This record gives sequence, structure tokens and C-alpha cells, in this order.
Amino acid sequence: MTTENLAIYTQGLTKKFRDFWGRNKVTAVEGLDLEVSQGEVFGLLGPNGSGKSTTIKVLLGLLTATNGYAKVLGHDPGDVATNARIGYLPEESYLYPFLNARETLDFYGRLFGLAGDVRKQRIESLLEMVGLASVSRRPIGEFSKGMQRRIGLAQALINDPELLILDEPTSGLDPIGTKQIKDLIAELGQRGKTVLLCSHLLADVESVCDRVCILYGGKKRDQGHVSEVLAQTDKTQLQLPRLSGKVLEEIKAVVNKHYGDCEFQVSNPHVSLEEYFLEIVRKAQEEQIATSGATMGGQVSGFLGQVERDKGQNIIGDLLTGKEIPVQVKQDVEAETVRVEAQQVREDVLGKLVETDKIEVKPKKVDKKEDVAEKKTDKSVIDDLLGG
Amino acid sequence: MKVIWAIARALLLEIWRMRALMIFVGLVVSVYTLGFGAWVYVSEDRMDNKVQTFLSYSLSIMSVLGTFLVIFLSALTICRDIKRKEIFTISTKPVSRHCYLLGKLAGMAVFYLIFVAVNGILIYGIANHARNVEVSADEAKVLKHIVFAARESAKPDLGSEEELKDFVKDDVEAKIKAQIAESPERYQQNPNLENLLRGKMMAEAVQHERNKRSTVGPGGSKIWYFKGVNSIDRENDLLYVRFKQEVSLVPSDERLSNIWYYGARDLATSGYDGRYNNDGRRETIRAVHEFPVEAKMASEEGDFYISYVNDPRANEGASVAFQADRADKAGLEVLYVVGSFEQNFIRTLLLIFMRGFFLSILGIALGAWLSFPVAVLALLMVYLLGVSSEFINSAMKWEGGDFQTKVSKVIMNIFPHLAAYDPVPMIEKGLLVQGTMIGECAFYMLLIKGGVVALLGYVVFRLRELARVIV
Repeated sequence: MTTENLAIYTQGLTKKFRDFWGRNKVTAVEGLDLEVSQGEVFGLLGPNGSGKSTTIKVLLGLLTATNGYAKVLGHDPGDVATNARIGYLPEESYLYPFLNARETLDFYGRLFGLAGDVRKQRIESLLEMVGLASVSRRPIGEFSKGMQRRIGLAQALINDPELLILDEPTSGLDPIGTKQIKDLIAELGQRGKTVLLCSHLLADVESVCDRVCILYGGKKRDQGHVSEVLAQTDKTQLQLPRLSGKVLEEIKAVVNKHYGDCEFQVSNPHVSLEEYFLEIVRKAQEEQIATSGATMGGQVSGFLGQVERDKGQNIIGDLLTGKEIPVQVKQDVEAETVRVEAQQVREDVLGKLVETDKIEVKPKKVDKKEDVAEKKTDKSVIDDLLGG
Repeated sequence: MKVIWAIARALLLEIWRMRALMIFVGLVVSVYTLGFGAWVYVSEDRMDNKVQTFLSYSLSIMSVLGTFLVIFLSALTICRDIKRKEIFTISTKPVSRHCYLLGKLAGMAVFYLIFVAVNGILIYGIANHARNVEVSADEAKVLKHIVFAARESAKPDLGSEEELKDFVKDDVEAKIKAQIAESPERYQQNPNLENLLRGKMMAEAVQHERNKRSTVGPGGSKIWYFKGVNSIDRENDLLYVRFKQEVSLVPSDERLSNIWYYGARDLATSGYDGRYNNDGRRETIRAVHEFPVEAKMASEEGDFYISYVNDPRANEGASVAFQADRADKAGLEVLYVVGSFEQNFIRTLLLIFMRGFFLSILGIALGAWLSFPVAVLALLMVYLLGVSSEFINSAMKWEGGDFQTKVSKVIMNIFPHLAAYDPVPMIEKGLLVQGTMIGECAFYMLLIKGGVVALLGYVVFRLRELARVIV
């Protein structure tokens, strides 16, 4: 792959901060090699002070690299024409507090030279999308942090960017906002946008990113596809209806028969706190309880178009017209449930194991493209469990 | 262009929404327009004095308030964008750094233009109302011909610097020879000494000759010629002879009895057309006085002659000097109407705007690489040196040696000559704000100095890492 096809490319990128006398104070980033393909959702991870934000600032031309080389959409960082194709949400929404939400989007729309009617249309659409339409006349200085993040995100999208750089996009957001942002990122990724996501909230990154790079002390520690990085291929996880103690003992006996006295953990699955919280809020909204803050955001703005690929598919057009389109399956997706039909299982074992007619086997993280049963689980164990 | 205007518009909104600042400005403006305005129409004084005082105070306060606003806001706008990191969001949009700076500058220019225009309209409205108030005939005359007029000044021809040098040359050379003859070995040892002596003696002799030409001894008289005294309406306008006197011996009442003759031809050969002696009243020394003369007393070609007679008895034997201590200043001048008050008022506002605009350029340039307090201090220093540059230069001329004088002149030339472009004293006296003054201000202060400052500011801002904190 040539560097021209990459959305972001760095080679040996180094940023040192020096004092007034030129003495090296701190090396924020050292020898960073990064390749982010177009259409990829890429996560930059690391603890505080690991060099994530510095890397982003160098890529945006806010800082100058001490050594090394960086290209963004094939151009030098800070190139004015290239900036028209980038959307950036800083770590805090650095927006004019004296402008209201509508004026803020209008201001940034003007900076992109958007025509009046296009600007107006996008402002309405984005305000609706981030759930701030009802408070669009309030000065941003009066906004909560979460609301500021929402309007910050809206300004980053006003130009329908090809490359979206998000620095801690969910910080300060409530779980609803976090979920919406994650959904939005996933949606944008599906629409072919390149997203560089920088966060230390690992759950956020895990659920939306195709690939991640982990930084520590300004250096790259690991990089790869999320599924590859996170998969524990030496373990198996099953999710089944509630089992009686007797059945559990039988299963344990089967496992011990094949693998000896190995680790065998049994527990009840939980819904995540996020899911629980969202359910409570959903009910409250059904009861129409008033709130002075942001409301639930709407659909992803229609103008955020599909980035044109080689095939030239106008997927966004199809999305907008409701036409059915072939969904491009992403390489990594959220853990999903694979249903195994009861008929495929030998009935004598099934009767002992479950009382329903279906068994759900839930691998921790799978690659949708791959054959789940083949690769992620040890088929022989299943066979044994089923009495084979 | 759209980007520049978008940034300018945001700055204007920012200023407008600084509620406390706007209330403060509104209060100050109310005090000096409405407050002084009320004073003009209710207090007991001559209307012409009151209007002149009102114009002087209100325009001066407006200019100073505007200057401080410009200093504060121009330095604040970029410093705050950088400190609050809003610059991150803006500079990652397709906004070049020069567009950003130009946008800020355009915003400041529009703000200051509105400030000057609104204040100007208020001040003009209040001052102009005096034309509709019933006053005595004398006050009405002064209001019409002095206060609400734009007058040009003609100064007596005392001879140019070269003419004066030529005139005193022989005398100076004779004195040098005499001095060398007293101690020839001293001058042989140091050949440069003779040149130093010549320079010093020539300067003194020229000054002495100039004083002599503007001084009238006891019992003597002197005639001065003024050219180019062309009023726009010879039939109805008035000329004003304006003078200020020094004396060798101060009379007991510190006043002089002045007798003037004037006419369109050389008084020595053709006699005079008019006479003025203030109805025999004595006039205070070291104070400015004016007396009116019909404009048609000057010839159609603009020639005008004045003669002063020093009565030795009335003036107790004092020599009377008209302060012509420098070629560009005179204690005696003839003022004639060349334009309208409105024209002059607009020129005044234009100069006030240009001074503020220069400070905006400087403020934005400094704000682009200094922190707010440092930038404001630097701006205040430049402002103070700018308004006192003439004073510093003249002080160095008298107190410092040649080297110090030259160094101070070079240094002071770096700073804007704000005092030289102050139009308020001129409109207060009903003097025309010269087009050449506006042109010089536009060229030297805005184009040359402002251009250099803007370029330096841009270069520093262009090279600056915006995400790097500068304390």
C-alpha cells in the first residue's frame, strides 16, 4: 500500500519539548510509525501522558514534529486545503462560550466556506443529531460538559469530513451520550469515513474500532486488529440457560475427563450497567419527564455522506432514499450471538442440558467473516459435551 | 474573504457580549457627551468657549477611551483564543494563519469604526445644536468664524533656515576667527574643534536672528508679510490675527498695550487699511489672543501685511517678542477660513480612527506571540512613548549631546508619533486638520510602521506552535 492511499501515515515521528535554552524537557512521542487506512476506525490508546494528544496535535499542525515524518490525507500536517477534509474534536470542546449552539455551528460552517442554505440545513440536522435542537439558543458557556462535547462533535462534522479525529470524544458524556457517540462512530465507519479515535476509555475503543495502537511513554507498544489483540484463543466461553447443579457437575466431569483438573468458572451473566441505565432512561422518556439538558439525539445526519471508494458506490444516497444496500461487513464487530439450532444437536444430550429448544453459545469476541465454530471454539469439546 | 469576515464577525459578537465592558463604555460615553452636553447649554459662559471646551474634552476622552479599549481588546482577542485553546478548533479548519490575523484585525477595525462613528455623531449633534441657540452677536460671530469653521494658518516669513544661515555667516566667521586668535594652539592641536565651534555658533546666530526678526524693541515697529491668505468667501468671512507675546521686562500688570495696523499692501510704502488696539484695553502677556479682520482686507492674491507698534510708555520699555523660537512655530499667525466644520470634524474622526487602528495592528501582532499582560504592558509603553515622542525628542535636543540626540531620534522614530497626529487641539481652535497630516499618518504610521509590525506579527505567529504554552 502506498502512503497516498493512507489517511494517516507517520514514520519515526518524534516530538520533544524543549525549554527556553533548547534543553530537552520531555520526549512526548518517540519514533512513532503509524498507518491508518482510509475508511478505518482506528483507536489510539494509552494512559495519561502517553503521547496520544501530542500525536494528534502534530498530525493537525498544532505542533511541529522534532523528527520524523507525517502525512495526513497525503499532505503535510496543517495544510489549509487538507483541513477542509478533516473534522477535529479536541480533548475538551474549545468553543467560543459567548456564541450559542446555532451560532457556533454557523461560525464553523462559514470557516469551511459553506453556502448559506447548505449551512442552515446542516446546522439543523446536526443539532437534531446531537440532541441540542431545543437548547440551540443558549450560550455554550452555559452548557454542561457533556452538552459541550455534543456541540463539539457537531462542529467536527459540519464539513462532512473524510477524516474525523476525535480526542477523548466520550469524556464528560453521560451513558446515553456515550452510546450515541459510539453508535455514531460505528455508523460513520460504515459510511466509509476514516476515524482516528484517541481515548483512555478502553470500552469505548473496543466497541467501535477496527484497529488499535497502544502507546506508553510516547512509544508504540502494540498495534493490531481489536479481535486479534483481545481474543483469548486458549479459553472457551459458553452461555446457556440456567443449569441445575447436577447438570453442572456432569459438564464438569466431561471437561475433567478431557482436560484434567483445569480452571472451570461458573457464574450468572450480567447485563452491563450501560444497558441497565439506558433502559431506565428509555422508560423515563416514555413517561415524558422534562429535562433541561440535551435530549436523545436523532438519526445520524443525512449529509454525512459515504466517502467515495474505488467502486464509486453512492451508498449514502441509497441510505437517504431508503433503498436496500449491501452492508459492507466490517472486519471486527461487537461480540455477537451465534444460534445453534436444536436439530443439529443430539436430542439425548439436549434433554439433559436444556429445557428450551435452543442453545446459545457466546464466544467472547469473534470475527464475523470467519467461521466461528471452526476457529473460535474447540469443536471436540462441544462434541464431548453433546455426548459424542 | 468569507473566512476573514467570519472571524471578524465572531470578534464583534464577542465584544458585544462583554456586558460589563459595554455598560462601562456606555456610562463613560454618557458622561462626556450627555453630561458635558448638558453643561454646554445650561452653564453661564460664552457659548463659543463652552462649545470649544466641549469639543476638546469630549473628543479627547473619546480618543483616550477608544485607545484603551483597542489596546485591551486587540491584545485580548488572540491571547484568549490561545489561552482557552479555541485556536485549536479554528486553526484546524481551512483557515490560514494570515486569514485568522486579518479577520481579527478586520473585527477590531469595524468595532473601532463603529465606536468612533457613534461617538462622533453624538458629539457633533450636541456641539452643532449650539448653532440653533440664541446668543449675542459677538458670540454668534465667533461661533461662525472660529468654532464652526476650518481655518488655515499663515505664518510670517522670517526667512528659511538656509537664508538665515547665509545672512549670519559673515558675522559667525568673524567671531570664530576672533576666538581662534585668542588661543590658536588649542585649535591646531584639535582641528575638529573649529568645526564644532562653527556648528554651535551658527545655530545660536540663526536662532538669535530669528528672534530679532520677531521682536519689536521699545518705541519700535515691525512689518510682517503673510502670503496665501485666501479665504473661501472674501466678502463675508473674517480673518483672525492670532498672537502670543513674551517680553524682556515684565510690565507691572503683566499686560501690554498692543497697536496693530494691517492692509493688503506693504504698509511701509502704501499706508494701512485698518487698525486694531482692542479698544485701548491691555492684553495679558504669554496668553493667546485673536482679533478679527475682514477677509477682504487681504488682497485677492492673498497678500496681507501686519505691523506692530511697541508703545514704550505704555509697555514700560519692554521689548516684545512673538514666540518664533522655531521655524515651524510662530507667536504670530493669520487664520483664514478654508473649509467647513463638518469637513474638519470628519477629518478629526478619521485621524482618531487611524491612531486607534495602528494600535489594533500592534495589539494583534503582540497578542500573537506574547501573553495578555505582557502584550498590554508593551502596548501601553508604545502608546505613552508615542504621545510623548515630541517632548522626549525636544528634551534630548536641549539636554543631551549630539550623540544622545541622534540616538534618541532614531529610537523615537521607531515608535508611532501619536502626538503629531492628534487632531483635537486643532479642531478645538477651529484649525483645519491638514490633508497632509492625514496622508502622513496613513503612509508613515499605518502603511510603513503598521505594515512592518503586521508582517513581524505574522511571521512569528506563522512559526509559532499553537499548542505550545508560552507564559
